[in-house]
Amino acid sequence: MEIYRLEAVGRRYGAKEALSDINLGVEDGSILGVIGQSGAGKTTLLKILAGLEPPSSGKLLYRGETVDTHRAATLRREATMIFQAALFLRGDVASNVAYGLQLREVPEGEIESRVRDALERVRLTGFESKDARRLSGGEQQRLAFARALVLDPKVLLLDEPTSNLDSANASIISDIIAEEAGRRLVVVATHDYGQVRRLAGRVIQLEGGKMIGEGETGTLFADPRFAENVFSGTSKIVQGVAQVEVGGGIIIHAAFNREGRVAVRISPEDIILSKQFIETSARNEYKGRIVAVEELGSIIRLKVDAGRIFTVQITRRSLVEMGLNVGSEVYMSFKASSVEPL
Amino acid sequence: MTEKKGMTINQRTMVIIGVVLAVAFVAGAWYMTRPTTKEQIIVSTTTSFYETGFLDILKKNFETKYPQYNVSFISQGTGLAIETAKKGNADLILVHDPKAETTFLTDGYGVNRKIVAYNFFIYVGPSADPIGVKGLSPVDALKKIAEEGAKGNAIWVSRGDNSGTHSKEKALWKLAGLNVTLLKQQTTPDGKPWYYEAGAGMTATLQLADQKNAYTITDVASYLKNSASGNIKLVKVVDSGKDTLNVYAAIICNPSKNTRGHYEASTTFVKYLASDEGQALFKDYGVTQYGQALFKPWITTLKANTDTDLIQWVKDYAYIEGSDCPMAYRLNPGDLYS
Amino acid sequence: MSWQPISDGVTQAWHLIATCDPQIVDITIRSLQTSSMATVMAAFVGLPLGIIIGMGSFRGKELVKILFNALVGVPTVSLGLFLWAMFSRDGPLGVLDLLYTVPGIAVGEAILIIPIIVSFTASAIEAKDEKLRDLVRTLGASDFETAMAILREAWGGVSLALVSSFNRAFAELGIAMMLGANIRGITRVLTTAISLETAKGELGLSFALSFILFAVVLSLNFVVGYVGRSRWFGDLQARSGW
Repeated sequence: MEIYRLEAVGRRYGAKEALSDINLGVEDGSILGVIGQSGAGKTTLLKILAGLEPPSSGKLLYRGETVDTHRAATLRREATMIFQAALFLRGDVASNVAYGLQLREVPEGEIESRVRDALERVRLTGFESKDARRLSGGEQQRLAFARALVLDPKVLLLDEPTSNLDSANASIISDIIAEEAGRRLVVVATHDYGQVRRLAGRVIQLEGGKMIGEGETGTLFADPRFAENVFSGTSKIVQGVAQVEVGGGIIIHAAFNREGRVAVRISPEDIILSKQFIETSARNEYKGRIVAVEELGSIIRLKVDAGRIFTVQITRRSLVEMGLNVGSEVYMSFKASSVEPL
Repeated sequence: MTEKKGMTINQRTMVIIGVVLAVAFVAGAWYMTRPTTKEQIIVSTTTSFYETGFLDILKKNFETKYPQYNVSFISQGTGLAIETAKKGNADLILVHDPKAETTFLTDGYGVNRKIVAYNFFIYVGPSADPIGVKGLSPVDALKKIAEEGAKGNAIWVSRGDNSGTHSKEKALWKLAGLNVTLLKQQTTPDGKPWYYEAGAGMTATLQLADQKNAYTITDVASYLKNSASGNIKLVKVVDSGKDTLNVYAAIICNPSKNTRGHYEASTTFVKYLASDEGQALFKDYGVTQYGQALFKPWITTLKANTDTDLIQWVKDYAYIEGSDCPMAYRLNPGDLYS
Repeated sequence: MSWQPISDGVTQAWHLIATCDPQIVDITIRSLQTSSMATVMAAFVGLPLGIIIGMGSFRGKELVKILFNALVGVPTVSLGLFLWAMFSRDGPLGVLDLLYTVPGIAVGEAILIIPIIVSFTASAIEAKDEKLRDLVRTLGASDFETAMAILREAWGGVSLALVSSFNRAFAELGIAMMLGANIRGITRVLTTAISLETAKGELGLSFALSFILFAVVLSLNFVVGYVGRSRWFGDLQARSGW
């Protein structure tokens, strides 16, 4: 069933228009991705869906009914948002998780067991008496998840759930998000396109408060606007492997059969970087120079010029450990099977 | 999770309990601190009277004789004391300013005025008495002080607060033919003023005068008290005289204007002051402590009729139209004026 | 002035306390009654007002905050005079018979300290992030529950407001004098007693009373501070979800 319908929804703060003319319908039991740059309006949209802020214009319907002040209270009970930076109340982990249940007057014995289960889910078993504010960043984000999941909300709204996490914590969270698909509606706002491609069934793209793209994940990312590492050139099959000459001295080895004019694409996460040349089984190896570094929380997007410009995604940790920077010389490698024909 | 025995108390309930407790507390405290279960007589009186401590004795004795009453004294400057009574916040006044008392009667605020006690204002000054006013009459002394003050040889401190004492002082300056306003503005050859206004109660004024080695006028009671406790080193320079008479009278607030409704009780109190018992209290207070009584009982003195000069002085100064209280302002006096 | 009155005062203070002099006990208890009544009454009005202002966003909010900050400094003698005229029998509130009574002083002091509570509470609450509000609301809190959660998080500042107001009321002279008139056994409190004894020239006794006043305030503040940090109180807070 359709959980949300937004009709020409807009939101302004004083003179600033954070969102305008959003038209959207969201179905139950799916994961919706919201992508866009910082300031594009992702958080604002989530807050509206969470019932935390009313639209300044347009209509928001939840389960078929217009959301007014009264209905917003119900919406807030059924939709829970997890914020980018987790905030906690005074007290231990258990009381923080239990807070929402206490508001709903759940009997105490039940609270205790539900809290325990939720903590187990996020791998924080045994943390009950710890001071919530003294946990590490990763633990705090997991705790935020526990706090939300224990309420079994009908809608889960996630604002950059893994952007400040190291990969260990990020993967725990990603797994949890993936598990939630089907159980309830999940809306994830992020600028990690890889994460969206992996998790979301549907994606909308925001820019400057407006919706500039919307559709099935696979389809949307095929859009040339998402052109990252899209190269066109001429393919020749040599010894069972396609060799695509894309210019700039780059010949990409791909594992498909086509010949002639083709367009190919490589996922930025599939490209491996090294500071020295390593002989690997990967068929594609190029030397290049980093020309741009884009920091997106715990992931980094690099633009590497190897004759053509490649977009490579690595973790921040790798960037730091390898001491990479604009101007650094790097070697890129990726498998032939990572090359997608378009 | 911390061990929790019993229910988690719902937040809303907590707040409600809190509110109820708060209200109960205030209500309880309000009840506990209500003034008195007895009938309360509020007497508006002056600070000098209050500061002598006499009123504590008066209260104790009166309440022993009449346990159904609670006497509460409110002491303020004479002006404010009268104002308080006019606004209906007291049941009777006990002051020492015949002029103001007359106005109180003629404006219709009071009835049944009764003179109860008297003493004298005295001048005090530095023990050395550099300008030699000792023994002079009150009026002559002031003339001398003004003369020497302008030369820079003496300092005068005034109450400056429109109290009974201050009114007396102003009247005396007038008798001496001097204009206080002008005196206040004068400066000595050093360029400093010699007439200071304390704007405070008697004790504070005495202390100021003491600090400055100045001359000032005070009632006997306040002087004795402060001298005995060592607060001041000033000595008496001009003693009793006709012009420094200080007469205390009680006036009951007019029941037709005053809504407090304690007319009967007030009458009982005034009659007590005038009774032998009450008069004895005036006569005895201070004798053991200071060697002399701070007040003189008027009615006893009047009845004894020995010091005829003194009696005439009091009548001249404090009688209104030939008696304590003109007929027009007497209300069912009974034997109050017999 | 030598040190005499002060040293006299110290000795006298000890003596008065040790013998539990009935008059001293009487006025000390009355001081406590008056200021605690005043604080509770002021909290009744001031806490909700401070919470509303702290949490609210409305036009003129800054003006209101400035107004209450200014009211904290109202000269007590002037306020006392104003209330005296109001409570006087011939005044608008004369029928309440508040003049020369302890409840009357308490009401006057309450009016005096309400701005303190409002100012401190509003500041403490504002200091708590707006994000706290969003968090609590997304977990399902109603407006009332939201206010309670924010109040709980801001409790440090709020309890400071309450303690400060109590201290202020306890040490108040002007209002107690104007509205109470220092009537022995009825409205005499520590501050007015000190004033009287000073006027009477009994400096030693004045100092003694001053020491006692200070000692009472100190002890009370210590006790409240200690209880606030104690285990027992923390458990009580946890049990009630506070």
